[in-house]
Amino acid sequence: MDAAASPSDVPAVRRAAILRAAGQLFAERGFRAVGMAEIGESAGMSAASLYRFFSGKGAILAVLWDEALSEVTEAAAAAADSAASADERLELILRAHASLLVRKYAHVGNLVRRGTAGLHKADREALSEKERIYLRLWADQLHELLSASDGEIFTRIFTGLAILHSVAVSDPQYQEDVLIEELVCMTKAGMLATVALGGSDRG
Amino acid sequence: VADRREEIISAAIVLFSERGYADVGMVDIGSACHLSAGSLYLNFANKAALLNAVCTDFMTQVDEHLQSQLASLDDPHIRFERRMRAHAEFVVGHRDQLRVLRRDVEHLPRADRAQIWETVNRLMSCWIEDLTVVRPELSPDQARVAAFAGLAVLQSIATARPQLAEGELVDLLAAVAAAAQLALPQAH
Repeated sequence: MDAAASPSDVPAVRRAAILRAAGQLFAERGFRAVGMAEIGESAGMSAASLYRFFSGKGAILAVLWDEALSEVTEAAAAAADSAASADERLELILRAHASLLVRKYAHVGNLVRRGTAGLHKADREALSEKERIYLRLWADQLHELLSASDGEIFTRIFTGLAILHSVAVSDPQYQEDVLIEELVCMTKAGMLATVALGGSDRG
Repeated sequence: VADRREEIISAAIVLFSERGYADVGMVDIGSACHLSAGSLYLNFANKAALLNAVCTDFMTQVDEHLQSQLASLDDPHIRFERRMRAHAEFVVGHRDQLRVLRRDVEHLPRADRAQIWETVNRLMSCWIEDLTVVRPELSPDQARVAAFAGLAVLQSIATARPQLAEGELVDLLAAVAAAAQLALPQAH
């Protein structure tokens, strides 16, 4: 396919190659340990031509993250559209997220888990705004399913994200389909766990 | 001397957690605890040694806290529930350290990181051992996946800044972590 690309496609092809190489290297060795020269080498170009596409590795990370976030938002919204109840919508959203995370974005997931330290301030702000919009989709379902404050709902959402992204650490070697279902099951049960807040210590 | 060491570590935790390890200098830490660079370097050879102390202390303390909370419990089911609470209590009370550990551990030399991972693995093998008694039908791989999902729940407060009182946060984290692990379906 690439060989048939017209000359106008070449920059897009090279840009994609850079993103692929950088994602791989960041995931293997950590964002901090990887330099632009290495990314260039791995993508088959000089550091100088690399800088024609990206101002630095922080900018590359922002694009990787942005693409993953766009795709997961779209997939989750489409999945939620097809369901009749909040419970079912939540499950489909989680499955869409788990599926993209396990099958396609394991490397980006690993970076997200480590936090936003490598990003420029403007990128960080834009991405957290985008993430807020995505997570509103989760919050809408949880608000329907639980009677809880916004603070509690968002704490529950962050635990759910943590469960999904924990596969980067446990790194199980079994079938992707099975793993995705297991993640969905744990995440849903965890986020919807029954708890009487503040009940245990202040009886 | 022990007090001074603690004082320096406390200042470092606040600064690292607020600004990130890379953006904090030894000078900042010195001035935060009213010490000259000279006396600071008497206690810590460099900034990485200080970061290592922050991370290692956290791991040692969480380990000690769990051991003291669980030592008298023989029933694995009770110990499993109690482990979730005790671990949640500890991380909620030490959020700044946890944030530094999670975000900045990459800055440590490989040998220091390996040592921290050793403690994590020891802690997790006790966790997995109890979970395996509570959920004997899980495969070893599944028990590991479930336990690390539970740990991730407890650690999720490192990046999120929940608007809940500490007691509520402990209750919620412990309940979510336990529910996730208990929900994992048996492998076919």
